Amino acid sequence: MASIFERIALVFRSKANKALDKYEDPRETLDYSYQKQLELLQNVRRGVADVATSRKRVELQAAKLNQEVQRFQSAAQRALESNREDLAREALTRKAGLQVQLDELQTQHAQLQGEEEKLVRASSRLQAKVDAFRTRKETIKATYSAAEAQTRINEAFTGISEEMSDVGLAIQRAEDKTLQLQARASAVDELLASGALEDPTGMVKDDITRELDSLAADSQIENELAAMKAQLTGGPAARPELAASPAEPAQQSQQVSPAEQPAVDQSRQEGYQG
Amino acid sequence: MIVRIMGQGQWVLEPEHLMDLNELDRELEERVAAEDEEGMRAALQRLIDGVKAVGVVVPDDVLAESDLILPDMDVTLDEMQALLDSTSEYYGLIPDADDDLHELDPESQH
Repeated sequence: MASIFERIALVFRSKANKALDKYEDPRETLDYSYQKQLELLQNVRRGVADVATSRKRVELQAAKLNQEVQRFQSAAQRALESNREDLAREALTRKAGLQVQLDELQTQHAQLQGEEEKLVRASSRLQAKVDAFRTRKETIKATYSAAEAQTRINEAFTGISEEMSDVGLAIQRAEDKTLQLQARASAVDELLASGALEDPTGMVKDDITRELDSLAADSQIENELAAMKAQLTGGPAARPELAASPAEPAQQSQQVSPAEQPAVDQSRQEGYQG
Repeated sequence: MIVRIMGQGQWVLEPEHLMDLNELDRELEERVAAEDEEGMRAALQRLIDGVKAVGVVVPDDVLAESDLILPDMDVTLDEMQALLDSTSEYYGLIPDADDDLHELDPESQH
């Protein structure tokens, strides 16, 4: 395996040398190299745009996953309120699974952001060097004969070729990372599509939510039944278990002057009045 | 001498800075020999920070060839091993200051 050190030193030079051999006047090689530099600059800019696109995609997915995590959290809360520890445990287990995915996405997001910043800086550095090369190229063409130009050309090349190899490798690394990210993004998309996560339209509910909803419906029916029974037996005060329990001071004052209380708790007030 | 940190740019170092950096370089070599990738990265980060701390950044519009190239933080243990092998005459990434001072120079003087 070639080391990075060897690659950076050799990759560009060997390519450039092959291409340069076909020119008789060494000064023409300057224009050729300058063209290559502009192409690389274009590639760097495309690389920056690709990384930014991937980063935004990760952000969207993370937001979606985060919503799911929150949803399971509140499902667990609801389940516990309904005395369904089994459902609460299931919801928290799924939440933990999603949290792992979310954490990985966030790590990846941070890496991509770092990559993007590095590429942006590399791009402006390369731009400055390409501009410097152009100035030097014009000076060489204007000042030296073909015979004299070679040494100056070599000097100009060695400076820029190293920068180009470095930037070239940076782009390659950014592309590799972007590919890895796309693979992960597709996996998360599949997970979303398989129904393991909530459908974005909100039409499809998972089993936990369905069970909680049916529990809520059941308890509403129980409440209504209790309220009807209370009405039939002459109000809540008549029920022995309520009369026996010590009333809290707040409830006392509510009972004393219901008219002063805003209608915050409709069902409770209905109970008192009935 | 000019040192390139891959993906980050170039810094100009004075020969006497090499003495300080050699200590960091030696730690890096030890971590690589121990096949400790995490420790290797931490040591490389210290070496990179060291170069940036003592060096003077080469302006963007200057075209200059580097005397040394340090890999960036993405480097793997294998790549670092290969890199150290390719620079074995230095005993590390940074040339040992005492023996190499005189050889390094002509280019770094200007």
